[in-house]
Amino acid sequence: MKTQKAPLSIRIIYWLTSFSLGMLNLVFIGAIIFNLMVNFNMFSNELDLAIELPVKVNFLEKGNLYLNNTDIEVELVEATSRIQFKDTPSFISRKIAFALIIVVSFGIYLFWTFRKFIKNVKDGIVFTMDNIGLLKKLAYGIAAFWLFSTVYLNIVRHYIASKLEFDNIEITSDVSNYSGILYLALFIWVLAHIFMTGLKLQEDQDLTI
Amino acid sequence: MAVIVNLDVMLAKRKMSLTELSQRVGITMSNLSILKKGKAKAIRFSTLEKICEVLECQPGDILEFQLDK
Repeated sequence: MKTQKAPLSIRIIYWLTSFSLGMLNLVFIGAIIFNLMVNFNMFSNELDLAIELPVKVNFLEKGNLYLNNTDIEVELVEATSRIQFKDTPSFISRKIAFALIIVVSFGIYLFWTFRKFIKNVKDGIVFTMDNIGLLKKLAYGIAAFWLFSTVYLNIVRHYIASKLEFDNIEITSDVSNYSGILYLALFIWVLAHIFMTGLKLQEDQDLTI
Repeated sequence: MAVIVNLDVMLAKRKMSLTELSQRVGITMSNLSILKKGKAKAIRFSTLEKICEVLECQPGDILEFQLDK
């Protein structure tokens, strides 16, 4: 059911999503190649891979903040961090390469689903079972991504962060979480139900002579 | 459905085809077909008025209420 031209904002969102999907596809190809090279030991132990640490680090560092022409003494007490391996062992490289494939695949699926939904809206096809299905898939996909991230964070915390030792830095057990991602999934799920109501209203309207 | 549409009865009485009614009322054949088959969810007063005008009848001649058993 095509109507007039979609608003510019919708078209911009569609183009941005298409562009991001294209970039992700390139990243996926790179991730596949990287995986193959890691699994065939083409780097031996020469990779210096880095990963985000899902915990906060405590340390005491004094400094100054220059604001409103005033020099204010401050202390840096907490920060998030990432660690870089020197000559990453192959068993860690393989795990990181595998996790990269999973994350990029998720990203491609989510962007592809969202692009399909935006394309329908751009073409004036709004309240349909197809769009409701796409929204539900998006919600499931984002919820699954949150679950994967949570599991990954806890694995990294248990196997790496808890075994780190530094002279002047304390690694806390305060794990970051991505609860915002879960709330996004829940919001999209609710949006799918709103679209179901919209579909019913449209059907009633279409069957009003 | 509790409200029955007796459009085909009136069309037969007036010896008019659905196509002619559609052209004279200004409603598409598909919409009239939906109405005739009883699949419509609602009818606008303006539509009912046009149909009654063309078929020279009352709304009660086209719409009938039957209690669901």
